[in-house]
Amino acid sequence: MRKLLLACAAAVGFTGAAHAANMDNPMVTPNVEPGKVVVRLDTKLLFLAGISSDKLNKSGADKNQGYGFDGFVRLYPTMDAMTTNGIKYGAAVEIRTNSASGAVSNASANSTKQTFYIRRAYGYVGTDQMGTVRFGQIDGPLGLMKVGDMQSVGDGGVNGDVPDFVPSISGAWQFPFSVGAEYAQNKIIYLSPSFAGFDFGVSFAPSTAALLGSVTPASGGFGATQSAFPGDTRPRNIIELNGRYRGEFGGVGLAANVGYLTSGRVNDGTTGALKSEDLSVVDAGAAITYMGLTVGGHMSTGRYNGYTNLSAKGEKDAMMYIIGANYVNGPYSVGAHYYNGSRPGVIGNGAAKKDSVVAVGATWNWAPGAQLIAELMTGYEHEGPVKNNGTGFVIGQAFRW
Amino acid sequence: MSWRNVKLVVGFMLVLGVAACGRSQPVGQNEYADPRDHDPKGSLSGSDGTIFSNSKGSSQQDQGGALGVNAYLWRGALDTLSFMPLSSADPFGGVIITDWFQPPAAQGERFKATAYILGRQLRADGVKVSIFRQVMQNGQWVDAPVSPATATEIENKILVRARELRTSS
Repeated sequence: MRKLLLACAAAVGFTGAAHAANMDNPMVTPNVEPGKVVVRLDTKLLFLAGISSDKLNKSGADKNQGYGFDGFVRLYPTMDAMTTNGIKYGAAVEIRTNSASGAVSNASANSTKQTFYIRRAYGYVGTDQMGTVRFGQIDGPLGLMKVGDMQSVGDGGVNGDVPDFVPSISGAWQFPFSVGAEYAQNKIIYLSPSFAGFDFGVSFAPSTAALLGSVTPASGGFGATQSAFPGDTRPRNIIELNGRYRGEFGGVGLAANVGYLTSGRVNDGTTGALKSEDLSVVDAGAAITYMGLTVGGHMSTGRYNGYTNLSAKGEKDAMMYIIGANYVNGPYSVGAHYYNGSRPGVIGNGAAKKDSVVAVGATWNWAPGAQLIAELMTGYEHEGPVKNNGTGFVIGQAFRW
Repeated sequence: MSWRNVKLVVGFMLVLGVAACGRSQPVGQNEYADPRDHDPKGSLSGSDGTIFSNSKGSSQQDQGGALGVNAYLWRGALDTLSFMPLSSADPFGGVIITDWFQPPAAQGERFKATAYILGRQLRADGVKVSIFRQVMQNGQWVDAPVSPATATEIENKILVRARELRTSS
């Protein structure tokens, strides 16, 4: 009997393990008691020391230093509550230091790195039986329910901070749910309860406008349907669908997702043969977990040009995938992943942009709230005659409280 | 957006709508991803506590509330032992002591139980139950042995109930 109960506990554990990206998210809902409101302020500080060998460090008139420090501070104010009749509601904000850096003569001045910006800001209302509605500047179902994005070890992999030290691969990561893309659009999302391990989500964003900003650039404010800028092609009426399965069979955890993103587009003023196309992206991933070892992969393919940028007639479909494995044993975890991407890149230049990155990372949670990380990464970005490559290594200390 | 895509979206919604007719389980807010903040977090002040509250996100899911011991095991023990009269219950020390209980079908013997919740984690070894038994002899209650399996069975019932509470929370 106890073995059965422990197996059930393992299944619950897998629910998180197969979705390593889901666990310990600062913007989570605590187990709020009915009639109570819980206010939290989580913080993360990261310091990184890195070295790199990069083709771009030695090209042109500017010489980049092959070693340096990096870091950031992030704040997560959240409010979570439940009415006495079981309606859950709340709001969360993610505030980050700007990632753009550069030579700063006076570190206390208002340099780019010394400013904060709102990365996510959303509210939610829901019940256990009916599901949850989220609204605001937040990831859609493709980002929220993705499976197999194997970057949870080290500094976050291709989507982490090592590329800050390696300019040649700083633009490699281009999944639709990535930086500066899908999550920045002000949207409304429905997230279902789970039915026999299956759950799904659907979202709608009328334009690429953020919660606190206007359509940029725009000729008519929110939801502008006419671009004043020839060649400016941006999506509108963006719809995301995602279905996810999570289950456990004899101690082996399985998870998978299949999603689709589609959109209309702002009428573009491009003349000539180059005409933008609506977004049409298929997104899927899978992961399997056993005894602390997780192996998985994720892919996105279709008509887009990285992130949620539009492709154009005559360009080839984009295809991006990542595969990897992680192993967790107590406070220690190690992992490796391989990322490969192909997308139109510069529209009309006749060459696709091809990226490839391999990374190996390790994490040691040496005390509550204290985490030591290390990561080695090498890769390239090629497009026509442009062929950049580089390698970087970082060690870092993160604090969370 | 093309008409083909509209039909695809509508079809997807219909399929999911049919699926939604089944029995559902809640999905916690912490079961969705944040692309960049996926590493274990912990807290400088220990496993509990922030500057504004005593709740701590996903860890609270397993610890089950703000009691001194695991709330699911605590509730499970209370529910399981509710057929006996309660003598005392300390939710912070994790001790439940029942009064003597005489089963209607077994006149001449009575039972008393003590349950200890051993920590804040929802674990199979997180509960310990002791059963005491007395039998009536010559008009007086005298102590009698109890089968070790009895305490184990009650512990298992508590764990089952705790698991039910955890999955439905």
